[in-house]
Amino acid sequence: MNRRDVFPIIGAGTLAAQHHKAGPPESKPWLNYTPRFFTADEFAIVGALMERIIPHEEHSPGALDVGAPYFIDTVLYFNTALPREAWREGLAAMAKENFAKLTVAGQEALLTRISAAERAPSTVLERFFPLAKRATAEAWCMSADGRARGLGYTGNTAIKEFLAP
Amino acid sequence: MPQDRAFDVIVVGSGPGGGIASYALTKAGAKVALVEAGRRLRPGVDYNAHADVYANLEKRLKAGKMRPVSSVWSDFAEKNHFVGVGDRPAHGQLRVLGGRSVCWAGHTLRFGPLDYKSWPISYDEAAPYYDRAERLMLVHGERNGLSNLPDGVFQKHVPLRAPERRLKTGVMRLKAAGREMDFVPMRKAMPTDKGTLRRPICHYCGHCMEGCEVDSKYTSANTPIPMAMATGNLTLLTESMMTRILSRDGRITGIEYVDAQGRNVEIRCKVLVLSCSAVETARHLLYNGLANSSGLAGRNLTSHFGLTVSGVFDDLRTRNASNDDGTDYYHSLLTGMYWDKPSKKFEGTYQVQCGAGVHPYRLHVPDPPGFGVSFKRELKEINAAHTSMNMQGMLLPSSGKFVDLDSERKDRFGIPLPRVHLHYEDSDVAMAQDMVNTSEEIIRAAGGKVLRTPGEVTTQKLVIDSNHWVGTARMGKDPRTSVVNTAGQSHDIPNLFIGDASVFAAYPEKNPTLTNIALTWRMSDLLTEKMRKKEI
Repeated sequence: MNRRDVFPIIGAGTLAAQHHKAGPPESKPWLNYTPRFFTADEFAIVGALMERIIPHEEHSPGALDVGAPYFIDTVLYFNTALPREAWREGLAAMAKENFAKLTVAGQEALLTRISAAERAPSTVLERFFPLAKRATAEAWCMSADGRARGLGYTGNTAIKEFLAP
Repeated sequence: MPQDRAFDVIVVGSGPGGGIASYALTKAGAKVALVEAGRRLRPGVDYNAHADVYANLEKRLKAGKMRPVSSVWSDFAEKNHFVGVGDRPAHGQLRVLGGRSVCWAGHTLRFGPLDYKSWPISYDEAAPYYDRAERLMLVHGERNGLSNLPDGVFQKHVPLRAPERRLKTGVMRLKAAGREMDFVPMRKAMPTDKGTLRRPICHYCGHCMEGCEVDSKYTSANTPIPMAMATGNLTLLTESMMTRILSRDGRITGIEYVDAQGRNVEIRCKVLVLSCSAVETARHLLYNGLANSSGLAGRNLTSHFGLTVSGVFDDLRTRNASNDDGTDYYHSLLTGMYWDKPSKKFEGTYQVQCGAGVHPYRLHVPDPPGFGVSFKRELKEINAAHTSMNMQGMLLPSSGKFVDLDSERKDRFGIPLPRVHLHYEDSDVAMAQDMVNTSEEIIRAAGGKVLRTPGEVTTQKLVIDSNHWVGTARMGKDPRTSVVNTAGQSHDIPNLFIGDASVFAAYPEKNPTLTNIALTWRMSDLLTEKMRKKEI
């Protein structure tokens, strides 16, 4: 190993310029996705629940638009350190409420009920709500469209001057 | 033993201290071996937080990475490498070339004249090395003329975001009413005016802590180590874990390490410099039974600790927060408290790092109440309007804070794991309570509302800074009360030097890295002089 192998001579400025052009276009791996951690029934509940938490609006994507259910299924499938049992337990309780088959108004009514105690949850459903909400917010914010059109974020890029908004 | 090579100096550990020691010593003509347990990471390849999260999710998770976003810390930090005893101690360790300098916020603050009062050296002795270090590190900051946070060699500072500017207004109001405090832009080791070939000007993407993909932020791996290699005097031994320090007749003769192929290798030296971090340096001294006639190796352990108060300015909810990235979260610093008028309620000093902004990968307010369209709007607006104030207080050294060796658990090389003992004192709790009260007061004085607060502080609410440990081989003039002398040289073993934050004789509220680098540079010069005079 010579020194050039260890420390590339290429100017770091050049690297920076290449770097910001080189990002892959956002793929959409959630289209036609078959869940690996959740069952099909659970995944239907996850999709409906996430969309109620962060719904589609004309000017801003919802959780389904950005593939948030794909995101959480994939993360739970690979990362065994996450609270998988809490998801299973919460979704079983949601299934008993027939959540996926309720009307939008019915789903909202259930969420209104279980979110009332989100700072001090006591039932399985109440404990599940903040868990699902955090996951939905994280999945949405990490998506390119959630960030850009949802949050109005233009960062994660190279700028010459920080303008201190 | 497949090899038997001899060097003037072996430096163990390539973090902030080991990096600068390697450069200073090789520049002076010494043949140096730098021994680093980890491998070299490639910025932009091994870590790159710019990459699209969804497109890379599958690949990252399959590779065993736990977090969706690339980060040096979550991807490479050691696990199960220490034993914690007491009040939830943590110990951050990054075994890569550059050590933790690859994953630091870049906060670059000088210790001041008052901070050196309990040291065996003065601020004036350290000052020339602060100058040198800042010139090398390329630091941005504002000259504020504060008594105990000396100005340095600065490039243009990075502006504060709107909520941080509000906090400054609050501080100015309290100051006008007689309170001693100041609010200044944070000083960080990232060029804003003029970079170098290897280190371009910061492009304000905010990924500093995830690892700077373009090497704008100072690390040992992008500055002093390449400079040391350019001298032709450095032998770089990565993926090489020191397993034994060799000594005879009261002198170090070399070390043994295990290389990347798992072979035991012995190398010899005239001088050994340990730069392994406060916990690991103490661990090696204790394991090898060296430099501990004082019984203080591993003692006097201290770090920073804290908690967080956040506030919101409702009239800033609809501000333009389209790109708050900047140089990561904290752009401002509450400082200047209790420097020369100590509190009657607690010992020591603290500072408060303040930040703001919409950072989508780690929203600071991820869970406003409710769901639906209103939740979605709130997520955007409350993050735009929030600020958070993060305490960094000096942890009071005491008999309940120290490093020793676990008698049973060992690492994969057979070396006992270090145990980190942490037991908070009443003074620590009182300091944190003062911070909470003061931060709430500032938020209200600035016209904001307190959003989240720990309220009444208890030991259970305190959070240790896992990366700021210092003091385990303290510097002093008296061999009975210190481990190294004012040159960083062991009192017991003349050819053993320590080049990291282990040698700190006392700890103020300021971040340790700049002082670690400045004092290790000074140690290296004094070592060079002693070698030249054949005193070693």
